[in-house]
Amino acid sequence: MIANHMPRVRHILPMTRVLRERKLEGNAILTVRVKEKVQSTDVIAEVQPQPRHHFLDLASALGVSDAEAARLLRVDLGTEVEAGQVLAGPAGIARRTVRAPANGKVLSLSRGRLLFEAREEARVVHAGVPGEIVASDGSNSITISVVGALVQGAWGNGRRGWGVLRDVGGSRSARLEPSELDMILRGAVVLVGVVDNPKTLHQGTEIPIRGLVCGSMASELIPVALRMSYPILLTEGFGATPMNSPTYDLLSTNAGREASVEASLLEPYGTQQPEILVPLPATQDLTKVERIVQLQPGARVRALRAPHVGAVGNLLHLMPGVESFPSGILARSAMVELEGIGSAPIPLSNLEVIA
Amino acid sequence: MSTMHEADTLLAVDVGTVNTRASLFDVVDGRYRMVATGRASSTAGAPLFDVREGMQVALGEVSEITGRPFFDESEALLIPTTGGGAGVDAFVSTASAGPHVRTVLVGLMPGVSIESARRLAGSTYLDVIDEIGLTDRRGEEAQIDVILAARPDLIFMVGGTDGGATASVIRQIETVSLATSLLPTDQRPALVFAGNTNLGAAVMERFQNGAAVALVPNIRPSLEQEELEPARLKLAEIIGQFRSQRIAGFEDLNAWSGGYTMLTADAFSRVVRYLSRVYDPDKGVLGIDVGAAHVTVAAAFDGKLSRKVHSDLGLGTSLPGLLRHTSVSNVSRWLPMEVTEAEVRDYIFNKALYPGTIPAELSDLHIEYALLRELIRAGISRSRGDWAEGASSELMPPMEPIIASGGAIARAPRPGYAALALLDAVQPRGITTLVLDPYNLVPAVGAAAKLLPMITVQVLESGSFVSLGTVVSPVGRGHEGRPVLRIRIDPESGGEPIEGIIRYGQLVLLPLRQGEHARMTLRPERGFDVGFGGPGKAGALRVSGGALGVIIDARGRPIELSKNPERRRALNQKWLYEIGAMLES
Repeated sequence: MIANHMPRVRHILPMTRVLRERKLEGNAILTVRVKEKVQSTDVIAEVQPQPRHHFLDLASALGVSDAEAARLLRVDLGTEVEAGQVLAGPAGIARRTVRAPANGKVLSLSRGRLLFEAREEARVVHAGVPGEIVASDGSNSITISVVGALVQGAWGNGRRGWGVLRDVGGSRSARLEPSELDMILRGAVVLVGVVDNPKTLHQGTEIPIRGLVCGSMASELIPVALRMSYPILLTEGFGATPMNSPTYDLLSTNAGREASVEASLLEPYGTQQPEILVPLPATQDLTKVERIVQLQPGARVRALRAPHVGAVGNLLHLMPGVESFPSGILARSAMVELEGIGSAPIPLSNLEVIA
Repeated sequence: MSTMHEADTLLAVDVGTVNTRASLFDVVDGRYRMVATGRASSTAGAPLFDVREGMQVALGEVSEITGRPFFDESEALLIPTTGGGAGVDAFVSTASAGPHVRTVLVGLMPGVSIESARRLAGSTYLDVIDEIGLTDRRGEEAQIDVILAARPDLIFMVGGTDGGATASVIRQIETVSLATSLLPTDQRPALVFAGNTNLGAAVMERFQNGAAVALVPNIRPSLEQEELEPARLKLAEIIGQFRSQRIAGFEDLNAWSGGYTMLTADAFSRVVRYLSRVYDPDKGVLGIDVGAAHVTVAAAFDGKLSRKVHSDLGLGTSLPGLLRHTSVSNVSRWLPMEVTEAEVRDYIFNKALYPGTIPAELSDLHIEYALLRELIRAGISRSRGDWAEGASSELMPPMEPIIASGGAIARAPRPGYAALALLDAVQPRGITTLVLDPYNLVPAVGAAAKLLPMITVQVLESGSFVSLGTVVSPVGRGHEGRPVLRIRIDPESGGEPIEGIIRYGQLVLLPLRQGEHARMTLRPERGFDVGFGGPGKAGALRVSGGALGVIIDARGRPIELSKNPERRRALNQKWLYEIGAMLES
């Protein structure tokens, strides 16, 4: 029997191929080509940040009429100019001129006013993962194909980074204390169970670490986490829930390897999930990433809510009708054999499929 | 909406952020009834971004219950009904799912045109990310940069009464025109001008750079007049187009429903306005819809509707927004057991991560309903400023009925649970009726109202809505245990009358079953007002029963909760028992 219910799907895959699209905001110059192999640290594009605009009042600066100002313009509209370059003039006995306030572009002239676009320092975009460039639209997006282990998370602080994965604490429920973050972990992506101390996050900046992957974190640390410059990814959510066992087993097995952490901020109707990628040589069959997986007997599932939040198990069977829970709520449910707990009925709404 | 005006069967689909619901209505004994309903997880978001999958599952449930197929072999909806009983005569669709339309408001005066534009934007699924006004201290360059950085989906321009200001409006239009011309063609926003009507041609002239401007009648034709409806219709159209561009399947819904999927908030509000014309003109009608991503509050007084869609409130993805309007301790004050503030806070953020989950444990249910109370309170308090009555009073204006909709309310394990949450959150005064919409039918009947005018009242009067009961809430202050009210209920069925004295602080249920009627006589003590013309005034009226009978809420208005946590928890527990939400073990 298959449930008439579309569950959430969480990917925890030891070996797969994923396509990671890098969206480039603003004007971008790509520095890689399709079929090119890249490393995490390779620059794949230079992006011009959103430029600032300035009105330059040529007429009043030159002391002439609007029409005369247009005649005195020394550069064509749309031309790139250097800071200090004469844009208009000279005019009058004092031979007044108007110069570009920064590197930029002259956009338009209307009623004696020149609209100037000041160019900001370009910012580089790194690949973030080792792989192969497989697609690009030539200006705003680059897609990288990566082979390796994939683990999806629940929450991220909007940062991206990579480094060598280190299991600090040695268990999926280990609480990370500030003192445990020492210089040995400099440049590492730290794997841990729970974080509940803001000092721990600040210490991560001091070292600095390149990423923090934890099961859960106290929600009151969210504002601190959002300010950190390194990626913070939670696999479970907020509170003190240990990391789920398949995630911990897979990541701890890969400790010592380079991992890429994409701690994407969850946005309503966004496409990007927080995730960790551990690039690996493709030595075995790759598991396909399935977007839709049915809830059916044998499915590997994870409980999303109390009383078994975070527990993982196998779906035994879908229960007929609706089940009553201690809250009094009636819900369509499945009987799940939870690791270390035994069998328990869980509402379908409170299950996600691990694929 | 379908163009048929004579229809027996109506199929309605509502696509919400978390749930997609399908409901089939048919004529039974000459009146419209909801005959089956189905629910599925919405598939408007990741990973599918296609509403059809969720809709098919919900419709599949309805088909399974009724044995009625809705589609032909090519998966086209069968309209009208075939001879073999397949398909439906009419179809309507509503949707609240979809990304918000990022909007920049451009206007003149903060208290005039911008205020109206803000009110309009707040009544629908727009996300206002910035405002540019005449008193804006930012320079023109900065305003251009604001628009470029915001990458809005919509720029809504207002300003100038008809025949009024022109130069300042045009100056702002020129700034917008310049800014949009700097955006890549495929990223240019939709543009709507709803200002000084005399400026239509001048506005069009300023946007000759390829941008299409929609001109709609002025939302402030004069300083005294506000006319939001034409602009609201245009914005609804833009929101619909925006959703269709980003989420697949809306085209199908639009095609089946005559080209137009109505916004859920519009359909919901339409019902509230309609009821305010049908019910007691001296009272308003209040509708509250708590979804995962929005809380919609609609209040109407004799046809004058005011509504707000609170996009930063909701019992799912928008839940963390609640903390901008209230504190964790305000949530905790409604709990009957001890829960740390950290646990409540974690609950809020986890619910936002997993909005489709439901509380299986009793403690989780208590937290969820405490949050529900604060969501409704925040929604109402941020809406009341626009209400035609009672905007400035601390107490709620008289309302009849109060309709509550939304997944969490519908899931209440016992009617008392929903009733207590509503009483605590809304704190109605005088006499009112609490009505639950467990199957989320309000949007459906609202969307169908133009097509089938009788459906609203007929479905509302059917058993598809749950009347929790008539509520009597005396207003006044007293000491715990002081007599507040003498009550007598004479059932029309001829049963034994019920008489008694209600004391301050009590929450009392008097039996009167759904569908039964009675004459209720109320004699409030001095200083207590039940809505018969002032404190101490007695009166009698015909009342209807409900799932809980007649509810007397003599806890005072506003309800004052003890500052002592233990006493407060005990009181919350006592009320849960008194209203039948929890059973004595």
